[in-house]
Amino acid sequence: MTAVMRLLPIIAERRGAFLGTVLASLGAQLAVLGLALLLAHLTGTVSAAAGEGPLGEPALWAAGLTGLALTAAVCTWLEAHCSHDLAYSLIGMLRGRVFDALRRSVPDRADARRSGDLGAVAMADAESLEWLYAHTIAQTLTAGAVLTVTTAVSLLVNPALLLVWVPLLAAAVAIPWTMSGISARQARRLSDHRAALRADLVETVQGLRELAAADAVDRRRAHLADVARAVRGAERAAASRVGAERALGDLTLSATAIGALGVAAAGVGALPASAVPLAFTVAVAALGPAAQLTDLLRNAGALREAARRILAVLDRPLTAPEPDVPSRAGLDPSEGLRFADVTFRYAPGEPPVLDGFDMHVAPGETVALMGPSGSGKSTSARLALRLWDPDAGSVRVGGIDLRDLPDARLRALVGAVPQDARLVSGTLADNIRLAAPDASDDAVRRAAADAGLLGPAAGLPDGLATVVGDGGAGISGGQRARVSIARALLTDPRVLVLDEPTASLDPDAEAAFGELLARPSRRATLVITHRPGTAAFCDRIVELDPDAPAARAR
Amino acid sequence: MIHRTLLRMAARSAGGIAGLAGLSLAVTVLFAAQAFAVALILAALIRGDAEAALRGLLGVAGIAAARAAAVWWREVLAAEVGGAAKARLRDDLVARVTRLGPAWTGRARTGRVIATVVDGVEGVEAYVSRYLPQLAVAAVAPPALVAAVAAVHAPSAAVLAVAVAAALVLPRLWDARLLDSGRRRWGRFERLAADYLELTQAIPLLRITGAGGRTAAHLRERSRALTAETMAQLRFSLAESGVSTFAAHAGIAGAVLTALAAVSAGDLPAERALLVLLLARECFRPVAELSGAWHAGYQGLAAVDGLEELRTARPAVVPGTDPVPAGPGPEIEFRGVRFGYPAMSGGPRRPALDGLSFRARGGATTAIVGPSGSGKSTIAGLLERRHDPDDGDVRIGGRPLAALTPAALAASVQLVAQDPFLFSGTVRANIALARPDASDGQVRAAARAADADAFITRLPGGYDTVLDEHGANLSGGQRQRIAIARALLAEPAVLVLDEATSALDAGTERRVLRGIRAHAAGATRIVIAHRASVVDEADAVVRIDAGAAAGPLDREPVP
Repeated sequence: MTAVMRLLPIIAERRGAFLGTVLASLGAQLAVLGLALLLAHLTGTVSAAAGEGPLGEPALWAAGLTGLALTAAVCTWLEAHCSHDLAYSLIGMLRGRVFDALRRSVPDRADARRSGDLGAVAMADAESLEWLYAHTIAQTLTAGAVLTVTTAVSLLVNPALLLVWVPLLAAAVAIPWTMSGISARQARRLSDHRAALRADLVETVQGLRELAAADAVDRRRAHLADVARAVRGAERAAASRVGAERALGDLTLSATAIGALGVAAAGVGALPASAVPLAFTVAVAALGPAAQLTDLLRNAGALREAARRILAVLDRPLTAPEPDVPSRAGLDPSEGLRFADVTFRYAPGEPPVLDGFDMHVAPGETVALMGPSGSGKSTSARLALRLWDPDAGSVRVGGIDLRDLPDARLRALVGAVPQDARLVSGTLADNIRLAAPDASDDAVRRAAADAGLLGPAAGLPDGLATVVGDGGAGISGGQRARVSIARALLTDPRVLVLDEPTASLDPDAEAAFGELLARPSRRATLVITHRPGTAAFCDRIVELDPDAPAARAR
Repeated sequence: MIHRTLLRMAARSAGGIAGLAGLSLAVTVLFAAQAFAVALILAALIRGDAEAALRGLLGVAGIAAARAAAVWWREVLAAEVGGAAKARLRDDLVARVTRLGPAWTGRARTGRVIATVVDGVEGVEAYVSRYLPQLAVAAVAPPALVAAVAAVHAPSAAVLAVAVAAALVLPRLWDARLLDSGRRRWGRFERLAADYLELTQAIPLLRITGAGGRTAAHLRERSRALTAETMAQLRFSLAESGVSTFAAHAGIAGAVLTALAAVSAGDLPAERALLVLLLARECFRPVAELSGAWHAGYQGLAAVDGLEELRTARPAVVPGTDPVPAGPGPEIEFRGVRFGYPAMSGGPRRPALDGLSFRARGGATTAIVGPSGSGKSTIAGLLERRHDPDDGDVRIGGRPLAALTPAALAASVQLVAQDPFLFSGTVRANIALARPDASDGQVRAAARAADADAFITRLPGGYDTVLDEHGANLSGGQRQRIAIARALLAEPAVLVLDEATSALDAGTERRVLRGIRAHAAGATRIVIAHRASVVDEADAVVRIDAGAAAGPLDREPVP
């Protein structure tokens, strides 16, 4: 349960709702218990004295019982309200923390988890904690109050009752407790299969074009059905266990009833006839708290699994932690972007992609970084953007190690056009503003015009108001590339890293882009490209050689 | 609450639902029987007849054992019935999504689709396996139990009848509103799921633009809105639970008091009051269980919009019926093709091709060149039948492309896109996507032709290296070459490369293009590019001009 325990302190964020849940739960449980005991007591008294005495003041009883029923109803409603408010706001907070953890730890350097799987952590796993926050913690706490009342009443009525219900209460709790190992394994299996199903579905939707082209849609469907079958198998096993636990729980309740009635029948202790219904009722009611606890234990495996998956994300190591002591130094005006003796490998034991790589792009200079696929060009770009830190050596901007720059300052200094030219859903203007949300409309239009996004040739009748879907769906690769370029131009960063910016551009656009690069500025520009046409606009070419990883930069 | 769409989905599980309802009814009856027995035992004990009480206890034990068995069986059967319903529905939805085709999925929000197919279907499972059976029990059992109480003491039963009716009927007044707000909530849930998935996939971009923090704040805002929507909805549904709680407790208390008053007045034997006390509770047990099942099943109800959307969306193309693939190296002809995309914002269609006509000679390489935005990729999309022309005709070997079945089309035309999708899985599985039974030699030959063999063998696991989703652990040029190998292995009659070598350096590109020419010598090759290097390798060139909205085109092939 340690994983679940670690998700409990967040409750402190909503103390009020939690307190409300506890109090309302207390009120509801005590009112319901009071109703049951009172009715049993009344029935016993009246039945035992049949025909001999009147009910006393029926109106008074009616008023009292109605009051209790009303209390039970209001408290039930309040409890439900407070507990859900508590649960859903905590789930919302957890979602935020999960995304915060992801945005500081993705992309993975070595072991990438699939996005469908990661997305499920924020949505499905977080949602499954509803049950924990709304229906178990406060209720388990208030169970103590119920036990106090039932113990006191049992002692008053017939202490022998304790001998009946205390062991059975223990048994009711022990049953799911002993099964918790099985329950944990089942939950693990189930969540692994479910995560696989979700991730496979994401890839099916996003890769449907390729699947259709390969006539592999039916095979993919069959594969998904297999994964779904595995999920079903795991669910079946879990259902059998849950069914057994429920059945045994029901049996302990029946055993309590039989035991309490048996105590009365066997004449153990002195039990007046009028108290028999009360004795029966209090014993059965005493097992109520066990139901709360067994519910918790029955679901413990699933909760632990959800907690484990959430914590696995929250505990991910930061790929580029903020500096403990941010550099206060000013930028050295003679320094642009510098790779100093940089070594980088994707996983320990793998050959390095960059090995003692040295390069300097001076302010005002545009350098083309060339070399065959896999020679470390894009890795260099990612290091310059501090998606990762090098294993040895340093990457510096204006003379300052990127690791000593707070993220906000770093992002203001270094701009980029990434290779995949991915956009986010929204308008093109939103996308251009991504790195500079406060930029004026004029500035956005200027950047867009420079990137060749305006005018009839851009093929965008709605211009910057054009809406794109997930990832930039709805416009062509070339248009997406121009949006990425406009975005980078808008911030006018001191260092600009462009990863294959012209791969999707036609020769005219490439030439226009080259002129843009050639405009005089103080910017240090690194252009990763394989196109001689683009390299021609650069001041200098650095070539990476895959067979002698980056040690030789010419 | 009964919903037509969900009921239609549930119809296929009718037998299972009936079985579950039967078992639930059995559980309810066994609870009532136990209550009846306990009441008699209590009466015996009050009379001082311990022997009768002990005999009764044996009966209770028997009833309890039978009920435990029924409880276990119900759980197992619910998983069985729900699991089967879920599997069928999910497979059905997946089939629909795949039929809707890449034109639809390319523009759909993946996270929404997944929320419907995964989380929505979970809700439908609960609706089918929990709510519907319990609905049947709640409709039958309480009236029967009230009738049983009536046999014991009619006035008490009258009180119970009112309370049971209130507990069952009053919440229905909320149902319509509840469903409305549930749907709104579901809509937000889907949007949030879509945002999370999209933004998780976009994290590298968000990081380098420094937009991570703002995006996180935006997501928090959306998440808060979902919480607010959820609470707005719960205010209704919880008020319902307050009302039924009150009805139950007040009903039980009223019935018992009525009976006790009658006993006090000497109008009713004492043991009947005990029967009323114990049976009154049982009248509300099915109602309480229905309320629990409703909470489990409402997500299914709420997700109904997402389900309907998938069920009613129309595919961009209707599959043809001619199962015969094109022969080797067919001629490709565009005749007066007009096509426009619907705008993402739902505005008017954006014209991309305006009466395009050209022929690509069979067995030759035809380059299609033109500036970005001129409609080149649209030509590719029409060739793989992502879309159909609004007007005009695309023909392959003299036959309309639209006549071919999807399988025949896949065997005829293979397209490699600029940003191909690679699946998480081995390199081999990715290359062999169209031909999973291909031999190692065939896979390697295709990879060699795409100039991919050398870098693949240098990967840590060679052809068994497991790729990340989207092939994220490869460079763009490596991804493109694996996709080309994949297309080559499929040995299509027509190979279409849509900027498929854009991330390659000139030397590699030349090797790849020559490899393609050698490996797919008999195929008609259409290469869409804006680079002269590609044009040099082509036998013919079709030039498409960039233009105004309508994209005017040069319709004659340039020799």
